[in-house]
Amino acid sequence: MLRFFASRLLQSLLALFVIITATFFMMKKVPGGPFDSEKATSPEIKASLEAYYGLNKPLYEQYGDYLKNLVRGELGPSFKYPNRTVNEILADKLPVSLELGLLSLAVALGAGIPLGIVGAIRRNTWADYVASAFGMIGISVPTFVVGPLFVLVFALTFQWFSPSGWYTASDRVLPCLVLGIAYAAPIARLTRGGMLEVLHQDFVRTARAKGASEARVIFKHALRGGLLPVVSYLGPAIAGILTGSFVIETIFQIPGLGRAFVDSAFNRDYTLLLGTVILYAALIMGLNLLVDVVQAWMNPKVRLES
Amino acid sequence: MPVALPTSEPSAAAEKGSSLWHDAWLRLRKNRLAVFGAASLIVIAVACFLGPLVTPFHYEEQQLDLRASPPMAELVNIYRPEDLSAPFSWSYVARLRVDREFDRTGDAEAAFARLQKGESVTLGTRIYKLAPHRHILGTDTLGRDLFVRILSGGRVSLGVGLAATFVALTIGVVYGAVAGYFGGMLDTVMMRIVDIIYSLPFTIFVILLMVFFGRDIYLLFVAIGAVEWLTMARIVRSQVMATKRMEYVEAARSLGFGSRRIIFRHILPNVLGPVIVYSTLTIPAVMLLEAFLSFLGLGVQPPMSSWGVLIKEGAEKMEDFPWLLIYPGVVFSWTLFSLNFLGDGLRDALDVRSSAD
Repeated sequence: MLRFFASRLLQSLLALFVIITATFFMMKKVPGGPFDSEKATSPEIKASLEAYYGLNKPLYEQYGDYLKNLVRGELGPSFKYPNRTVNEILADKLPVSLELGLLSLAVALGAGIPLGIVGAIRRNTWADYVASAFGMIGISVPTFVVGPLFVLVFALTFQWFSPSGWYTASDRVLPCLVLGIAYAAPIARLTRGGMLEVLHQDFVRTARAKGASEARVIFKHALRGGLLPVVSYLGPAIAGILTGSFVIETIFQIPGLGRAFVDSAFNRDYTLLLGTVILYAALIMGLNLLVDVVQAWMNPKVRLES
Repeated sequence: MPVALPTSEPSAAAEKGSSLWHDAWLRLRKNRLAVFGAASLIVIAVACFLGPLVTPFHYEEQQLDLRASPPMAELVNIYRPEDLSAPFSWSYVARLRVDREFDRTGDAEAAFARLQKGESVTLGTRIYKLAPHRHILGTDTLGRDLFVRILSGGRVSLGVGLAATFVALTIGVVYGAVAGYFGGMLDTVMMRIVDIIYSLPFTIFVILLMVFFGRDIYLLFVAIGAVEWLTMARIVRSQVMATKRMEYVEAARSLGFGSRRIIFRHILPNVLGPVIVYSTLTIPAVMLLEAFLSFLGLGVQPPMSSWGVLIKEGAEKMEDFPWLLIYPGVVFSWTLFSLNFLGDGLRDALDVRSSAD
């Protein structure tokens, strides 16, 4: 188990290093810098700006400096907002996106797993068909269609919620619902498939034979095996929810990490961009690692294979 | 391998030599959702590629007086008496009612009745006449026909989907086949590389590419294709590893054929099934990614349209003009539905695992 964990950790760190290096050099190679604004900047000012941000040094030295600061947890000053550091900006935005992501994941699991179980134990009944249809809709209708439609119906027409913002508890409902539904659909599908497979196995028949109640058979015996496909899907789902928040935060105007990432890309705010990329990559890979460990804990087969 | 249908004369099936594909076709035809999906796709593709040639409007043509006219609004051409050949302005009946301009004729209702019968109505220095065409899905906020924009946007969206899938297919098949066929150290290194790229947050990677190298549509193909090949490579590799132990491959090798010939002529044709299935399911994934980027403003750039661009524009204007969001959203979702249904149906018809049990 420890070996498994260590090798995955090493792989993640290597990938993170690749991301940082590739992004850093790509950024430096692109024409057009952060100070090429509409306002004509005099060469002297530009030179002093570049000196301030260390842009006049040779490339490898800049790279070395960046890595050194990164190890200390310093992401440098923002190009666009000179009086703020990237660390401050990210510290502002991260909690918002984490809350959005966790609530959406809760919606996805809370809706997807029960639907999948119902689909499996009531196989080929209307309940199953409703669950499957929901799954197909969730997979085929993207969040950037569902989101604006929900705003149109629930915020603008019925006025149950405000169409944008992130202030009150009711502001959380629509964004998390839209993002959660998108991932509830595949989760329902996977749960249904996993449960169907497990429900045919001998140990389930044994449990029934010894007189365990139906609820006990399903929740105590079958669910652990039936949820394995869901657990292995959690990695991609988490990555999807994190990047899906780019769209959700744009639609609902939520001041989170996703918007910061897209805005910094448009503004060519390189330090902020690089900082967000690193944070995202670390988050996604850290959570993937966690999912791997949970999976190995739940399924001895994975442990043995590695 | 899917076996031939049990027939009374097994030799008849063998003589045709295409029994596997024939069986798959028969199974696919029985799947109503898959047939529905395939039919929908044909309709959508034909409409997108041929439709803009026959409609009376062009996707960039702006009728600024007709900004955001609702679907099926009865268009009215407005002429000046000195030039009856071409209208100098446009309006539509519902708006004329709101503007109450016809009140000046004394009897507005009679004027509307005449107009809707096809007669012209003269008011001061303006002549109003019902136009021969309508914008069946209305116009956008620049007075461009939404229907044509959806069709021409579909060309881009479908084109990106097909082209990027082709890129992913090519890289993935070659990479997976080489890794799976040669195995050993080469395979370990190659698949480790795939694992590492797999764990990268690829949406972020595509966004970075679009930001750094300009929002070029051809780059979009390459960028999306470059991230979608990984799963294809994994699938092909595992299929090739299973296939290369078959006797006919050994026979080919003992005849002295080279690796290239064995891979491309003997192994790959036999892993085609999963490749086709996965390609069909990659197309909607790619189209989704393109629309996602366009929605963020990083994909296809106006005045060119794609379904993502149209949905973005619609979402911005939906409060006043909901049809600008609804129609592109419905067409896009319908296409994704159809592709997913077809992909699922093909998997059931072709896939080794599901036809075995």
